[in-house]
Amino acid sequence: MKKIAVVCLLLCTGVFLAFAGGSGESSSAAAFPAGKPITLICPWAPGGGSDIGARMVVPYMEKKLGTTINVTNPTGASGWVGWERLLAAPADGYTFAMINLPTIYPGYLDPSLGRSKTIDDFQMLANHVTDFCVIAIRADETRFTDLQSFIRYAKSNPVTMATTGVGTDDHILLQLFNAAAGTGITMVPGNGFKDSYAALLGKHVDAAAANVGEVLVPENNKELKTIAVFSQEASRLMPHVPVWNKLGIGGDIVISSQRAFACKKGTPPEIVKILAEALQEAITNQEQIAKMAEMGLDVDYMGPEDFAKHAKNEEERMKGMADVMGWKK
Amino acid sequence: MITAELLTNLFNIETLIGLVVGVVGGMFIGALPGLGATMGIALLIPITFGMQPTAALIMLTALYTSAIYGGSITAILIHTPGTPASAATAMDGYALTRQGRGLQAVGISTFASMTGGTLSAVALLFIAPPLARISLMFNAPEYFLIAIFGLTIIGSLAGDNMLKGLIAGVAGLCISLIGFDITVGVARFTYRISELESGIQLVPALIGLFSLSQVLIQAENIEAIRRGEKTEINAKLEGRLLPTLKEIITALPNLIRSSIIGIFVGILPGAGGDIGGWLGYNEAKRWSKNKALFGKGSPEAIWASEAANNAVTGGAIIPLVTLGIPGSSAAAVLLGGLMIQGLTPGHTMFSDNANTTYAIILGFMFANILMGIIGFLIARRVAKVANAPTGILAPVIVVLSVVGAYAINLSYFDACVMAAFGLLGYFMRKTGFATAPVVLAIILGSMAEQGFKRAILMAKDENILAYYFGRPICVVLILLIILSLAAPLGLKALEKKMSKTPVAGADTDSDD
Amino acid sequence: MAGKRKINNDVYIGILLTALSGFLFYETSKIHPEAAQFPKVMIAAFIIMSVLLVFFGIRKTLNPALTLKSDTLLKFRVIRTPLIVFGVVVIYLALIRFTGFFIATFIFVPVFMIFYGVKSIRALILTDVLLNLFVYGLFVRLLKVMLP
Repeated sequence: MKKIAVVCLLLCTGVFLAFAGGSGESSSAAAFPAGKPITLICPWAPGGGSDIGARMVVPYMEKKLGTTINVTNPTGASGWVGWERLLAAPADGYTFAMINLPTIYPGYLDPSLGRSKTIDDFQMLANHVTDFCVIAIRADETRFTDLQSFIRYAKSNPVTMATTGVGTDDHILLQLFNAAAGTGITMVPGNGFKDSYAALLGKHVDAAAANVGEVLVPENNKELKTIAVFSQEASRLMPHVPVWNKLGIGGDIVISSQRAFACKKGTPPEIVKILAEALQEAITNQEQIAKMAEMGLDVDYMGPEDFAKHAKNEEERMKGMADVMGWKK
Repeated sequence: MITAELLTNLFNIETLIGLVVGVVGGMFIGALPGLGATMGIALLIPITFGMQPTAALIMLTALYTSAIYGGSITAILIHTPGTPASAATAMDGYALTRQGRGLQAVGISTFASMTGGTLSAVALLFIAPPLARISLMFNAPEYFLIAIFGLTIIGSLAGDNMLKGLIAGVAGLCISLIGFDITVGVARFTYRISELESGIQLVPALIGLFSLSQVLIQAENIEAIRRGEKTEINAKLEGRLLPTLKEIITALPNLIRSSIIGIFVGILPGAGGDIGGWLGYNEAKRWSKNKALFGKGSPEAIWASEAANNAVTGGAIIPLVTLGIPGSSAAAVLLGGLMIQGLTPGHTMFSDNANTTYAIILGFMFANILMGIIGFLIARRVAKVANAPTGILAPVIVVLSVVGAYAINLSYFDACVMAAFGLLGYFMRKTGFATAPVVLAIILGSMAEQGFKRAILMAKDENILAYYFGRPICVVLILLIILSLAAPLGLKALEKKMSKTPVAGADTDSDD
Repeated sequence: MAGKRKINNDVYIGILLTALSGFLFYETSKIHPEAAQFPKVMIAAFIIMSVLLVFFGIRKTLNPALTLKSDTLLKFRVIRTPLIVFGVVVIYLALIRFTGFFIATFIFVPVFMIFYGVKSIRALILTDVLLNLFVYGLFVRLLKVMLP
């Protein structure tokens, strides 16, 4: 009996802790969501870049919608475990998800995975962040100091470039870059930017393909130098970095990693409108934009229709890379 | 370095509350199967949104080290490592519990964890920048060799049947193959199941292999349990908790060596944090005068694995704050915590934000000490839990295992994986296969493959062997591997000539 | 065990493992060649070791003195109860899928406890209720983990 008492005591302590930390809910007068909590699926690890970005908009949306938004993080299959969960949930607007371009495409464009869902199964709500790709080198690199000298070096020496993974925007960038600049740079894929950064700093690779958000801090720390950015205009957060399209070395390359929000296709249009408007307010909120900028992320709001069109274009581009990616039936 | 602002940062109510919550919460979270340091930090991050930077980060780092400690408590008492890092403690810890010396084991674990963690905090405080630079020198080629070195440890975990131990290891390697290939991005062995695309998750497999299989093994004694008989675990749990001064002094070399190993594993991002305990264990066994006892209840094993796995925590924070490169998966989540508070890793942490940063580091150090104190205070009461009747304990363990396995990724699939591995673990233990090699191999399999593939890419046009031998660290590692393999073989030959001592390791008598 | 010579378990296990690893090796042929390198090496090692296991098992059958204690633990009478327990766990998991976590746990815990011979109704109820409360409080409320 005494042992049972001890077990109970411990359990009670746990329960006490739990209720001490519970959170409240607010009620609302709107038809949707009518005070019911909404689930936001972020298919990436909590504390990571995508997760933090998602949680950034949550408070603003909660205020607008008058309800709680619970963020859940079912990770796996490069995001598809979470996305499949969204597509399995009812299309009633009480579940929406963060989606990432171009990460979402290989999950179904690769025939060996046998996935039947595609980008068409998603109803776009808004784009949040567009993080353009860059090429970075060590700040103390002596063999080349800018893009032109880098290309010259790459044409006559074997060069390795780290990327954040296979099928990521960095991977696509490298393919396009090699084609446009006439170089044969070898890709060394890692598991995220930290691998690329460690490899570059440690002199194990010659350069790294990454995104503005990732290199901002290292550049401020004077560890890295960004030699090119692949956007249409100069980056707001790194205005001094040369824009590839303006250098005229090769064909146009514009590539980025984007984080957006979507719900399941088939959700009633009125509900879509409510969600989209709430997102618009949250994403265009100046305070939120400033906070994101502090983390090196460039907020780039796009509405549902614009973004849906953009997503289809990106899908076409991805399809064109099937050979490069090794997708075969 | 010590300024007034630093002291106010450190000694205010919010920080102190954060410290205590982190330490106690961490122990709790670490003890529960499935919830480990990484998950614990991740789940607590939303709470830090509104907190002061110092308080928030001290809470999170305290949670980190405390969770690693908490995991060992359940590992020792009920063969259920609460975190992967504590898996190395489970074998010898539980063996000691079965001998009625569970309290002693917990005491050793507490002291060792406290020491390892504090030493790593000292390293973080004083020699972080040079250690960070050293960590940069290690990359894919070195990680491949470290993984191979780690795999050689399987030999010492094999129990009485080396071949079966190796098979278990190879099986673990094959399991680690499931999922996406790193260099080509093709799915392997996924059979169109989404959840398998990221591979078999370590924690559900671990819970299954250790906890559930233990429940199944205990169930063999159903008759005795039903009669209310106490099996030998419940028999006597008295005895000393605190290690004596003599014991501490004898263990000192072990402690220091293991802490250094742990710090080192921590600073290497590619090594992950979980192998720290295993490497500490292995080296302790190598240098021990009492090798045969390892696996059967050697206190030295506990000193080693616990000091090492807690030393990893401070070590993992070193590259995190200096370079922004987390040294372990838990540290990766800590990075998120830092970013949210507006603290960016790098020079600014030690210049503009110096007061905050040093306050956090000192807070982390205090957390380790506090963890030890609290650990000693509650150990006896907690140990009594293991004495609870099996009829109550077993279902509780099962339920918590299921929840733990599910909660990591909100995946029902993971819970099923846990169950499957539970059955597998049970049969393995009944047929003489050690289960520890499987866990180790799952951790190291992808590390080895990725290291190898990326090293080939990094070598560019150079011949891969030439590339390896051109890197001094690699040469050292290769020598270590050779020595590590050759020495025991040589010693074993000597031993055979001299006596007939049985080799220690896995459950050779698991019919409890 | 006297009289008739018992074939060492290792022989059966070895054959099973050889078959399994052989199948896996065949599976690797379906994978992209570059991605299949490592698996092929691993699985080849697996096959070799499984065959060795059979070999040693035969040796141990012929020479019973070599049998290790760990070879003799798998007897049906011994494993019967654990298998039943495992079956209960599987049913529990399936139940979670259909009735949700808390109901399943509510039902499962007393069943399990009774199976283990716990007679006190008080213990049954207390454990059941407290465990569920605990999991709810910690996981659902505090840590915001949605259980099925």
